[in-house]
Amino acid sequence: MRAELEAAALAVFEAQLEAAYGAAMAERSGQEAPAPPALTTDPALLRRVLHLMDIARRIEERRCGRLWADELLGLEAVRNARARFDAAHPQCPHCAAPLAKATDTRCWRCWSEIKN
Amino acid sequence: MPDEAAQSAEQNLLPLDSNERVIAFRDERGMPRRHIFAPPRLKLAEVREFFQQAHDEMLASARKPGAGRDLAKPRRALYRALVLRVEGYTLTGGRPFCELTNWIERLPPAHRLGAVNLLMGVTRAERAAEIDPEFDAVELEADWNGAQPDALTKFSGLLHRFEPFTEDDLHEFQHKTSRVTEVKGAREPKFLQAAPEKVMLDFYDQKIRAVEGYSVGGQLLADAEQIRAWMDPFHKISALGPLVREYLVPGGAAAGEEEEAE
Repeated sequence: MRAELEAAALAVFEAQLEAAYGAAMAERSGQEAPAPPALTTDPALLRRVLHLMDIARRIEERRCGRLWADELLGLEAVRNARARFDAAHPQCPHCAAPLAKATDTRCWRCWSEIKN
Repeated sequence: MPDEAAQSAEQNLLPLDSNERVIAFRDERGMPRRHIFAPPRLKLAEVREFFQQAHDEMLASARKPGAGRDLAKPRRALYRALVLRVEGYTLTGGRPFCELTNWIERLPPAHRLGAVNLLMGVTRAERAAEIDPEFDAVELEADWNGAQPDALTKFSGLLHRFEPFTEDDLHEFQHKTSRVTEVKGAREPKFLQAAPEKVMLDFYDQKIRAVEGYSVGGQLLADAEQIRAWMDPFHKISALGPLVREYLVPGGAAAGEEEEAE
């Protein structure tokens, strides 16, 4: 189950980046933003992953109370997915946006040059 | 001693203690039809199963859009689980309709679905309930057994007062409704999840404090214990559902927190 949750979380992170990237490119070119990418993740898994991501956010904000044991395991899967996502999409040193590709020489959000 | 149902109707209170739920309507040809059901509150296991089946169908439909799922199947199962008899239908030769061993199957499918839809029919009142200083209130309207043989009686002013949700309550709700279990041995990866309505039934019992507009034995319901025992499960869902949705925003945060953050 952890592997499935991790894959679902990774798909959500990738979809979020794709949506933000698409919106930024559209704004830059004065075109209409493309439709957000359709996720093929199982709907039940997706709901669980979104819940786990919400908990992760609340933990960062230090406002999460008790946790269930399976939430702790799920959070580990989300953290692993985040680590894989961060490795594939290093942050822009100027604005911290995840780069579309590790080899990008310009940030899609702040348009700063990236020295690899 | 006055009849308790008549007394309740006089006071315009919805009688929760009806022994049977009678769904009366006129069909497409103007014929009066009556479908008599066991009260859903006495068939909670079947009602919970209905919600689970409906949720499973919805998930399956989302997994394979356009695969031709039968979304009415859970309603047909609920009809079969709750119906006791029908009136207003006649067999050729004049025999009583319910003498047939397969009388349920011989009913027009649209009548079965229509009757079960009416059985579950309860809506949130368009007029917003006044803001209660202490509780979260939701007002409903519903059709219920009435004096007329071919129509239902509309009851309004059905007020449900809940203890406000805490952040822990919302977390628990999200946790219980998002938990997934993998189906072992399935040909394709398949995951089960509890129907939100099943969790809502438990939350209703936990958070309800008072109701108005309902009666048991011709009297208003006195306390939360009586409400838990007598309230119709579809009314429980219809009262709690909008409240939960108001609290939750995409991502699962509580709406109140957004205001505090500003």
